[in-house]
Amino acid sequence: MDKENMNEFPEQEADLTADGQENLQAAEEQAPEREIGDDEATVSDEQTQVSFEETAEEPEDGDGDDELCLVCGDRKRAEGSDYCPECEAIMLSRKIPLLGWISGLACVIASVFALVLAMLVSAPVLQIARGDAYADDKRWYSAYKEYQEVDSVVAEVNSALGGESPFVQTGSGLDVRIVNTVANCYTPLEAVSVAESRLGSDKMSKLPSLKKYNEIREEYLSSYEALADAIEAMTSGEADAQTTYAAFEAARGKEGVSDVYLNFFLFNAAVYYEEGYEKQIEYLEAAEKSAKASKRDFSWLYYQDFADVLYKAGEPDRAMEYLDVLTEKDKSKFGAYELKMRIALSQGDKDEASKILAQFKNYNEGFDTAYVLEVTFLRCTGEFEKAKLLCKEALEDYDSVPELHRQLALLYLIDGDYDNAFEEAFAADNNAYYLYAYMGDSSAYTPQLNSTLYLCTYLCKESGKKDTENAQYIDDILASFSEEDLTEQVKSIIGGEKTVEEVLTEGGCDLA
Amino acid sequence: MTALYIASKILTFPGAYIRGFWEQLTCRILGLPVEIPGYLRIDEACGHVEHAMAKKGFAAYLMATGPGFMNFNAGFALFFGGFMNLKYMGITPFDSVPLFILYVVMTYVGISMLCNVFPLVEDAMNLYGLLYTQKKGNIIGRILAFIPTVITYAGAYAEKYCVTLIFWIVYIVLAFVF
Repeated sequence: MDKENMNEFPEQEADLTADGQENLQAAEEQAPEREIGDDEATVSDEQTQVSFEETAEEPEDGDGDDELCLVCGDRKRAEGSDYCPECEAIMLSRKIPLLGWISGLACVIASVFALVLAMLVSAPVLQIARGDAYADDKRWYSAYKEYQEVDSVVAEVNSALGGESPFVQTGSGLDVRIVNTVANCYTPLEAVSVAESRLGSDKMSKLPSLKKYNEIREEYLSSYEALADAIEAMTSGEADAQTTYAAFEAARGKEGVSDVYLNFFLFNAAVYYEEGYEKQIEYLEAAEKSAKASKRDFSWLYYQDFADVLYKAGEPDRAMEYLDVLTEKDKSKFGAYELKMRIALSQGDKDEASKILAQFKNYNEGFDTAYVLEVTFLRCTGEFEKAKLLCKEALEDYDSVPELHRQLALLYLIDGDYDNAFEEAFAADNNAYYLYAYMGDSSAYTPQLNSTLYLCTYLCKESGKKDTENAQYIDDILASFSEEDLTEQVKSIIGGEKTVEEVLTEGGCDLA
Repeated sequence: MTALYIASKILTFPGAYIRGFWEQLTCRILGLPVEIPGYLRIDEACGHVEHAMAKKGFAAYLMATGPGFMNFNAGFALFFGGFMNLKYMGITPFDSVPLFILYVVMTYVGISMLCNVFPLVEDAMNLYGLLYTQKKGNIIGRILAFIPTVITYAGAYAEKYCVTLIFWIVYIVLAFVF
């Protein structure tokens, strides 16, 4: 049945001459009933029905019936109309039902509310959408930075509204996004900590998408707890290397102890006892074997360390293989790109290093890590002035990034400007402290930062120029370091075997 | 196909009902007689009112696009407001049950309205016939109305065969599952 048929009423059912409106209503009530799946009825009525469309298109083709009202089929049509005046008057006066008016009004009010709501949340939504785009492109650090700013955007919108609106708030969906990005750009273990601080344990356990991180953490912790006594003995100096290794091996095969983590802890013990690279590689290879046997992805756990050790052990090609996997999984993985660039520079391949930098900048343009990598590249290639200018430009936007202050400190060291070098190193250390104290992020405390702080402080004191704001801390800082804390690079500069410039532009191009 | 069409209208009944309301209101404004006023009848005109065809180009244009325009604007605002909060702001039942329900309802009503944007095929054909076959209306108006008319014409068929509903279902599944 089509609309043409529905427009029509049988002649005999719409006698407006008798009871006009009543009959029309009766016809209306009966018409739909006949239409439901009853094509035959329609066909049988065809002789008595007049198609509205046909009539409209062929008004002069009729035999007299075409001049009759389409509804009642009894009276003649009014001029320019398909209906007689009576039927038309009835149809024109049909009232819109009250429910229709209510629905229409409610629809308008609701849509205005929705529009205002959409406008209010558009700024944080854009921020999240940008983060999503980065996450889809596996630029996890960039995604993390975008998501991190959402809370402040929401707070800004709420402050503009003059209070905390229940309609302008983020939910667990954003927290899950943040946790996922942390898991991808750092580790799943850190992701669990972030999840706990943002969501709390109760809410976290309810979200199924975070379950996998919890399981990883549980597995890690149970392995760690099995070794806790041995680790304590190691760090307190009570146990020597062989005792520690034996204690670790004794835990192998125990319930809850994962071979992957156990081998990784053994590697860390080897690093702690300053074993040779061969032994460290041996443990990491064992960890890799266990990881492959488990058929799970543990690249987040040991790939960066493995690449680092392989590079130091003189196996840069093998190191590159691991770094390629890391950069494939995370296009904003600063540590992996930095090591790749260092490997290229140490091989004297400046073009390759430049390509790696360009690749990283392409994915992370405008972010602090992109600045840090470019400054490092410029410093390593001897373009100190450019590096300094870029560093100062970056610090205008990223004053709280410790690594940028450290890079500037290194550049001042090369210039022989020890006062400023000390100030920048002090600022780097200060920012690292704030990151740790307020965000729980200890990643800025690196051997490079410690070495930079020590060397800058030492040279500042040695040069006799204590004309700095923080000169009062110089002796305290120097006293906090022991001979054992100093790296070979720092010792070679202090001993006068190498110049600062030589150390910072050759080999590893850094102080540690 | 009729059963599928009716099912799609029942699934999107808020939008279908409101569309019927806008259509009857437009008929009133344009002075078009309304034959059968029910908005949610179980037939091929479900979600529409039975009305006389407009005889003038502009009236036909308003009749074919006006109710849809209203539904589109209101539906888009509702869908956008609800969807953004669910998909991007990440509101879940763990955060606030009333807010979650509100946004789900907003998204549903919004989509239901967006699934009821186009006129019946007969209205679209009437519009196209008046403007481009009978060439009623001035030339500039007909040029300006060409793209909207084509969209309306195609959309009327898309809605008749439930393409719009299928599109929205697929969109929502992709948005929330992947």
